[in-house]
Order: sequence, then C-alpha cells, then structure tokens
Amino acid sequence: MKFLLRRALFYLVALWTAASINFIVPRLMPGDPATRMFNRAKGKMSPEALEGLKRAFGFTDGNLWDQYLTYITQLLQGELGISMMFFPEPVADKLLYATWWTLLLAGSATLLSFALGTLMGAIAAWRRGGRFDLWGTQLAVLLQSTTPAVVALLLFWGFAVEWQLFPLGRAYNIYLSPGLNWAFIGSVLYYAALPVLSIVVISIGQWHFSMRNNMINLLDEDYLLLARAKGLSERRILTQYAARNAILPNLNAFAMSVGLVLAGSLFTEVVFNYPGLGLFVLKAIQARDYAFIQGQLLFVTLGVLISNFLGDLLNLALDPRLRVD
Amino acid sequence: MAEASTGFITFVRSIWRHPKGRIGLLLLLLLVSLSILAPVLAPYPPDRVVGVPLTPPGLEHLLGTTRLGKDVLSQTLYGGRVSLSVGFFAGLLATAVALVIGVAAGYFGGWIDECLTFFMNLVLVLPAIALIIVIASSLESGAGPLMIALIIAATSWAWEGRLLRAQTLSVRQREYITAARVVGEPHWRVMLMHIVPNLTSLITSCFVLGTLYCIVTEAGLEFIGIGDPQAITWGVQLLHARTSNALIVGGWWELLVPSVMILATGAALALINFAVDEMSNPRLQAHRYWVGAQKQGGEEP
Repeated sequence: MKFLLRRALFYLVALWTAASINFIVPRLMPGDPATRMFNRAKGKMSPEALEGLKRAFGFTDGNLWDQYLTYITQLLQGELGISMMFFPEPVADKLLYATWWTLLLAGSATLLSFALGTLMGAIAAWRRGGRFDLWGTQLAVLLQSTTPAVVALLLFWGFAVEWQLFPLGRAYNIYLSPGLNWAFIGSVLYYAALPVLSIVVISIGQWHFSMRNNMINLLDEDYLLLARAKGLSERRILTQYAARNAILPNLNAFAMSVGLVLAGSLFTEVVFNYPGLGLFVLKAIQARDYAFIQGQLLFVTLGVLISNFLGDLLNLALDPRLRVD
Repeated sequence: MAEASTGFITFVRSIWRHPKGRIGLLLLLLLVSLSILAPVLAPYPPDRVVGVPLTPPGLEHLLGTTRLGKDVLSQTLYGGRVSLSVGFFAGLLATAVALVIGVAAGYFGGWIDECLTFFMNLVLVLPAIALIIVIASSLESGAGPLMIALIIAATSWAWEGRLLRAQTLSVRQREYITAARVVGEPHWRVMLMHIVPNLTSLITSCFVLGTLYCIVTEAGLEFIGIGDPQAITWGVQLLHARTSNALIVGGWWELLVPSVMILATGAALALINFAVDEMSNPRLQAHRYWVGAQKQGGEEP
C-alpha cells in the first residue's frame, strides 16, 4: 500500500507541475492569451466570454499568487476555458471527443506492436545469429530510428495516393451514419488501418530489441540448463521459462511507452487527417487556440499518468517484493 | 585533457573496427560533408523560385522542384546544415545536463540523490511533445530551429540521466574510488577523473541516441507546423510537401528526398549505437562466430 501511495502522490505532483507550466509559460511572453484570442475572434466573442477565458487562464486582476489561485480553482472545477476554433464550445468537450479517436488509434497500435515485437524479439534471441536475428533485428531498430511523420507520409504516398488501396484520410466513410453496425465498424477499421500500421512500424523495434536483449542475458542462466536437463521440450522452455522472465521489463516499459505512442499518434493523425488529438492540436496551433493547446497538455499528461499507475498495479501483481511494506 | 582525448580517439577507432559501426560512421560522414559543402554543391539558391513548379527530377533539376518552383536538391543540402547541427547541439546539451545530474545523484546519494531522482522522474513522466507544443505555440513568431532544439533538449535528458545515475552507482562501489577519497581528492576530481571515464560507452550511447531523437523530433515538429516555416530544414521541406498537396498532384520527389535524408541520418546513428552496445555487451552480438562458439559448447540445438 505504501508503494501505491507514494506513486499516487508522485503522479499528483506531476499533474500539478503540468498545470503550473500552463500557468507560467504564457506569463513569460508579452500580452495575455485570452486577449489575443479575443482580438483574433473579431467580435465573435462576447466580453463575458473573454472574462471566462481570462479566469480559465488566470489572467485576472490582482497579484500573481491570487491569479494562480483563481487558475487552480477553475481547473479543479474542470473549467478548461472555451475553445476558439469551435467557438463557443468548451475545450473539455472537444478534447474528450478527439481523445476517443486517439485512444482507438494509439491503443490498438500499442497492443499490436507490443505483441508482435515481443514475439519477434523472443524468436530472434532464441535463434541468435540466425537469419531472422541478423536482418530482422537490424531492420526493426532502423525503422524505429526515424520520425513517425516520415513513415506515415511514405505509407500514405504508397498505399493511399499511388496504389489507392486505402482512403486518403478521415476516420470513417462520411456517407455512413455512426452507429453500432457492421458497415460502420468495418469502415472505422478500414480507415484506421494505415494510421495504425505507421505507428506499429515505428514502435515495434523497441519491443523487439528490448525483448531480444533481455532474453539473451537470460539464456545462460542455470535454471534454463536445468529445464533442458529435465528433458522439457524446446518450445516449453522458450515460452514458459525464458520468455516468461524476459517479458517483465517489457511489461514495465509498456506503461512508460504511452507518452511516446501518443506523440507518434499525433504525427500520424496529421498525415492521415484523422480526427484525434493530434489533428485538433494542429488546428489549434494554426488558430492560436491557446485554451485548447493548454488543455491537450493536461489531457496527455493525465493519460500518461493513468497508464503509469496501471503499470504500477501490474508490477505489484507480478513482483512480490514490492508488496512488502 | 590529453588523456581524455586519446581515450576518445581509441574509442572512435574501436567503433570504426566494428562492421556496423563503420557503415554508420561512413554514412554520417557523407551526410555531414554534403551539408558542409552545401554552398559548393548546391546548384541554386535554396530559398528562391528557380524553375517551373513540380519539375520532375531531370538534368535541369537533379531532384526536381517543389510546388513553389524551388530546387529540391539545393533545399535538401542546405536543410541538412540546420537539421544536423541543431540535432547535434541539442543532443550534446541533453547529454551534458544528464551527465551532471545523473553523476551527481549517483555519486552523492542520500537526500541529493532523492531530490535529483525525483526531478528526473518528473521530467520523464511529463509528455515531451505536448509540452513542446505549449511552449512553442506561445511564442509570438513561432519557434526557430534553435529554440526547438533547446526545448527538445530540456525535455529529453531525463532518461539518459537515469541511466547514468545507475551506472555511477555501480562504479562508485569500487575500491579505487574509496582509495581516491582517502587520499584526499576533492569530490569534483573523483567524479571527473575516476567516474566519468568509466561511463564513456554509456555517455556515447546516450549522446548518439539523444542526437537521433532530437533530429527526428525536430523534423516531426516542423512537419506539423510548429517551427518557423521560413527556415530551410528537412522538417520544413516535409511541411511544404504536405501543405502544398505535392503528393496528391504527383510530386513524390518533394516528399521522398528529405524523407530519405532523415531515414539515412537515423540509420547512421542507430548503427553507431548498435556498435557501442555490442562492444560494451558482447553477448548481444548476432554474428555467426558467436553461434559457432556456442555450437562447440553444444548449447544451441
């Protein structure tokens, strides 16, 4: 329990740090974002809305400490301000909508690349020096050493523009009405295929490489020799003995990787015009919608922290040493 | 200082002797020299309209022109200067910060370690890209390449710091460190002369991977439009290829050329890192002679 409490406290501090960064950064620049957004809205925004926005940013009268208190109070009430590009809708609603699409994209890509990469890494380590290890491992790591933007662009060019196998963008066929029917679900999967593939291509190397290295370091352990001496089948030794222990650090890294996957999803969404957080953020940057940009930092931070916490719980379940108080 | 530099040269030499490391170094050398020689090699000024828009690669324009009629080859050569130097600078900066904080945390231990480790974990858990977007978009005129590099360095050093801390912890246990302290050497000297030299391969690895991360992240951020659209870098080239819809109208070269450069840079640095990794942990090698040795031991089926 003490372990969990410590972690939870740490995550609260991290969230508070992100919120404070949102408070400090605009104050290092000249002018205040609320007024800048108001000026850009050219009369669309009422003075009351400007007041609300100023409160959400904490740009009120009074000294810095009072401003900070206003800002934090607003935040604790879930008030993220009003979005300018979707005026007059609140930022939080739009962020939630975009988050679902990003979760679909990033979530399925993470699970897929984790499963595939870990399996490939285990095979590469088991047949160390074989053809698969020689070429597969290097290819996986090389693919990882680039920006998701390049991979997504190249896949977009090849599969969507040149060969026209996949759609050029969006999340589903706009002639279908969203609902729980096969046509719509099929369309969602079809439209998600290329974006998911680009994230998988980028992130598979990480799992492959770390699984391979963990497992190679285990292969000389005595308990594997014993397993062999007992006459167990190679397959059983691989899955039940070697891979089982080697996968622990990978599971650990799984939670940590969420931040990276979200970043990868951002670039991919921009390329494929996919209505997730990344695309909305891009539009927000162009529209100078500061309320939205600040909101995305809190949302992404929250996502990373939640997944880290889930990782902690998983660890607690797997590693008995942590349960000792 | 002389000792440190000869140590570094031997280190580079051993990367050179490693087959993957040699390919990586050669590739990197090629990319760097192309960028340095950009003013000599580039046939046109990179920022001017010098031809018919979207000319396919040919004799007039070896790698074609952009949708705005700029020469892709010249842009790519000049773009490498900014992309590479900014990446190396940011990688160096991140490694330096990581080195100071990581070694201090591991060496001193106690409450200093507690505080620094807490700080590193905090930076690690904050989503870097989302943070960069907040900072860069609050700058009135967009963020230039240098600004992006600084922000990337400031948000990416933490994992390197944790690795260096862990390694420092194990080096610190050794007897000659105690001996140096007993003789009365000051802390800074023990860290600089006795601990840091033992971290060489890890520091190199951190620097190589850090630079790699900075280069590709900078390109990605510029691609989504966070950077200064007037700058000439690989990322901005990708941005223009996207915003001008060059791909849809068939101008694949505008995308492919900077992409290949980014991929090649990533590959070069990854290969060098492979070499460093395998040198410090020979068990990771995938060479056939290793398998041969194992077969003699009768361990592998």
